Amino acid sequence: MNYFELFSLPVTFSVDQVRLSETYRTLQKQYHPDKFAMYSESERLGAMQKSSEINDAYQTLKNSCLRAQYQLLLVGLDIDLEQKTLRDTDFLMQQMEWRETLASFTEADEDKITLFAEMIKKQVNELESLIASQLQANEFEATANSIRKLKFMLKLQIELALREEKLFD
Amino acid sequence: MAYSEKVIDHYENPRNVGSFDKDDQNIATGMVGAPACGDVMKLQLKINADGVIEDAKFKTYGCGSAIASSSLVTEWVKGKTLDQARAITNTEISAELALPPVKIHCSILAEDAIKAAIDDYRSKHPNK
Repeated sequence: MNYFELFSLPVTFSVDQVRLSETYRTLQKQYHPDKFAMYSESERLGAMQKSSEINDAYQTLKNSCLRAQYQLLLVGLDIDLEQKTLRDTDFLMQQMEWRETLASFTEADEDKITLFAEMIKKQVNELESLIASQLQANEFEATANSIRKLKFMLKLQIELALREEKLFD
Repeated sequence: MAYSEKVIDHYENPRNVGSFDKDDQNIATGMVGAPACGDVMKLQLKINADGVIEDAKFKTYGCGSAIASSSLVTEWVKGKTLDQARAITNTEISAELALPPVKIHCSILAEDAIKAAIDDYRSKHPNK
């Protein structure tokens, strides 16, 4: 049973997040260790494994990058642990520029940082829409490339959060 | 994770940080990135008329190992021909810096940056 089936969801990139967390809570209750206290050791072990599978599935399905990567895994393309180097010069130049902008922010740039964060968020959303349509069209290699780009954008968001913390906390 | 002394040295005193004009015909620019960790690396080589690397600069956004790998590479490529530079491997880089297995990809990135820069130069000068 794959993660989507476990959560009774169709295998699509867009996932109803409300339904996802509701199903998660229901499943977690169903396999909670307390319910299996009176059962045999092997049944308790089985419930524990199920519970950890439910956790893994939930973490994967709620995160757009992990979810897309998992959909590729389902069609036999495993890019999770790849050590591939991206050589898209224009994309990387842009990434470097954004990192430079980020590094240049000071305490006085609160408004600029807000605008920057919005711009990055918009880029992330656009990439996610692209991934959705590429998956829909079974363009798996193209999807893999978009996921790789998404990873740089997510890293940028993490760096942005760290920078804000350093400047304003 | 403990960094080796060499990594710390390059991280604290990175060699040859900076940029050259990427549109200059004698400048080769290699842009590479590692999706797994989001590191971005730019390596630029200044190549003379004899095809020898006279100078090198880098700019890297990434972890200490990625910065050390690119810093080391800028030192190593100086005085080398393009073919000699292309022969530098990630194994040599990771051995010199004593990188742990989880950081080998940083040395791969630095090796790929050299290759990307040389490819850029050859696209500017098809007969070299």
